[in-house]
Formats: sequence, C-alpha cells, structure tokens
Amino acid sequence: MFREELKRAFINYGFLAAVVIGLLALSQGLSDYLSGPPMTSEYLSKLPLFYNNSYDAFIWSQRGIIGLLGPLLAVLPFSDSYLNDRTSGFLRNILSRSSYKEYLFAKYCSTGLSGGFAIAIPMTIFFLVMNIVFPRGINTNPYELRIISTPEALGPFGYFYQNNPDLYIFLLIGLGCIFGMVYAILGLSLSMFIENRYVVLATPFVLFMITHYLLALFRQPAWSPLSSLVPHWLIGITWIHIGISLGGIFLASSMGFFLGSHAKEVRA
Amino acid sequence: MRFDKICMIDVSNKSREDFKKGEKMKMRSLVTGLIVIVLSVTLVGKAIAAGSFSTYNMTIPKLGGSNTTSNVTKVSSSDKAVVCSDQIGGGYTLNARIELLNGSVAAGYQSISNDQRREYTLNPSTAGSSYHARIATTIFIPVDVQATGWWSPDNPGSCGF
Repeated sequence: MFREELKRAFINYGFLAAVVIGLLALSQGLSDYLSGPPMTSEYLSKLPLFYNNSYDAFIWSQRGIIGLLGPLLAVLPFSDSYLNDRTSGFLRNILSRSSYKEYLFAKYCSTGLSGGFAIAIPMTIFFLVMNIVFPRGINTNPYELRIISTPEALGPFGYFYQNNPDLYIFLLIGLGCIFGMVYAILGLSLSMFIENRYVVLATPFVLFMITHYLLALFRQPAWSPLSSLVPHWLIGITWIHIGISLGGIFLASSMGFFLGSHAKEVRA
Repeated sequence: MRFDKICMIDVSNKSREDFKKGEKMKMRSLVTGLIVIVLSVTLVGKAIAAGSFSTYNMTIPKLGGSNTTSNVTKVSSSDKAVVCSDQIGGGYTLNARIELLNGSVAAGYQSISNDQRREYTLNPSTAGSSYHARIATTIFIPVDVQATGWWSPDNPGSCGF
C-alpha cells in the first residue's frame, strides 16, 4: 500500500511541474546575482578571489521568487490526492483491498515525502549546476562580498558557511525539504475539510503570504514562515523562529488530518 | 679694497655680519615657504584625488523596488567605489550596486545591512565620469524601507564605524 502510494506521489505531472517551476524560480533568483557588468578577464583579475562562487550564487537564487512559491510547490504533487480519491470513487476500490488506517498512514507519509522532495530536488539540481558554472570557494575579503557572511546573517546554522560551505548548503536544502513536507501535509489536512481541489492547493500559499505580510507590517518579520525556507533573508533568524513556525503548522495540520479522517470514517 | 667699498655702498650703515645674517634669514623663509607650498599642494591634491563621501537618505520601494542616490563625479583614478550603509529600517537586508548615469552597471549587487562597509571594483569597460548607487529591496520585503548612509565612486577612506 505504502509503496503504491509513494509511486503515485512521485510519478505524476504535479511533481514534474513542481520540479520545473522550482528550477525556473531559482533561476529568477539568480538573475540579480548575474546582473553585474560583463565579466571580462581584465575585470575578473581585479576582483577578489572567489568573488563569484557557487555557494553565494545558490544563496542568491534562494532569495528570489522560490521563497514565495515554496508552499505552492510543496502541495502540487500529492496534497489533493485524498480529495481526488474520495470524489472519483477510487477510495472505495482501495478500501476493498486494505484498511482505512493503512491507507491514511500511506497517504500521510507519501504526501509529506513528495512535498519535501518537490522542493529539495530542484534545489539540489540547481546547486549541482552552480558548481559547474561558478568556482567552488569562499570569498574571504571582508568588504567586497556578494552576501553578508556573518553567522547571524546566514541563519541558525550560518557558522558552517565559512568552514564547510557544502554542509551549509545541504542544510539549507534539508530545511527546504522539511518545509515542503510540512506544507504538503497542511494541504492534505485541508483536503479533509475542503471539497474544491484548487482551493486545497491555493490555501497554504495564501495563508503563507498573508502571515508573511502581516508580520512584516507589525515589525516582526523574523517570525514569518518564510524564515523556515530562506533562513538568510533577514539577520538574526534562529532555531526558535523556525521551530515555532514549522512545528506549529506541522502539529495543527497533523491534528487536522487525523481528526478529519476520523470524522470521514465515522460518516462513512 | 674694492670689494669692501661695494659692500659698504650696498648695506649702507650695516656691518658685514648683519648682511650675512639677513641673507640667511631670507633663504630660510624662502625654503620654509617652498615646503609649505609643496605640502599644501600634496595634501590638498591627495584629498581631491581621493574624493569625498556623499550622503543618502531615501525610501526604497517594497517587493524588489529600487531607488538611486544622487549622481557623483569620480575624481580619482582608483577603480574602487564605496558604500557605507549606516541604518536600514526594520533591520532588513538590502542590495546595492554602482551604476553609470545611463543605468549600465559598473559593479554588481552586494548585500548590505546596518553599519556595513561595502567596496565595489568598477568595471574598466564601463568607465565613466559620474556614477550613482542603486539600492534595492528583495522580493520578500513587503514594506517600503528607509535607508541612510554615505557613498563615493572613489575610495575616500574609512566609513567611521
């Protein structure tokens, strides 16, 4: 059952669309990084060593539209699948072969994993491409840097950037994966209560945007849900900001999913 | 005898020693004057050649919007420009780059925050006489942001923080 659901979660047009949109969104973020003057050999020789590098390029690419589209990418692959199974009558066929609990567990895990990988896969591909395009190294000039490289500016694991930048980037991708899982499960839990698949897919994104805007308006931007996907968008983002944001959504949506599924089982 | 007579005519009532002292004094003041002139020219020239900072205090539009500082003429041959970011409202991180007056980019974006010095190597292929700095918000910032600081298309020295 779980294997079947996992296959359905990863092999579908929604997942493919999420990966393609993710790559395009990361490329958009990179456009500002590349908006400088032409990199002639004469100019490059005057710049500090590793002024342009693969790590900074990846960090810049995260500061683009990917940060705002994250919740949408996470729900695209499989978050509306429970609603689809129910409305198409497919759920009855499944339940004739396995238990409802087994189905729910498989749905919950496969949706979470597909949402996580829908964000992590484009990020990983993009980082690999950056490693081919730009040199791998850290610019140590304290004044002529593309990013602010102090640990507090790069998020709760920012201290890895100077000594092990690869680990820093993989932690960013890992955080993106967890973000995707949480928002995919949020979408899944909404599908327990909402009957329109487009509303199910759009609601996590709309909630994310409203919360982000309101927190900025009330001068509390560090608490924005964006901090969990792009922990370097603002100076001073800590594990507390990320933990409360992601933990709160994860708990609320998991409870919503299990309560909603219980109500549906009782009704059935 | 002839020499003594001439000296007597030139210095009138002064003795020969007084005349020598006077000449020494004249030479001394001439040398001092020359040193003062050389030093002044060097120091003032250096100050002009290094340029000076121009302050900015502006509102940067939200959601990836940008604003430019006033235009400043480059006076030195240095290929460095400097942005001293003093205060940015809300503690946000912004991006700043150096442009020519026609908008072509002389040095690409670098992130800036409070109390931060950023140096830019100007591209020789885009060399011009006047420049401005462009400061932009990222797409994540949903409010207008106030930014203050000073900048120069030359390298006048320390930012003072």
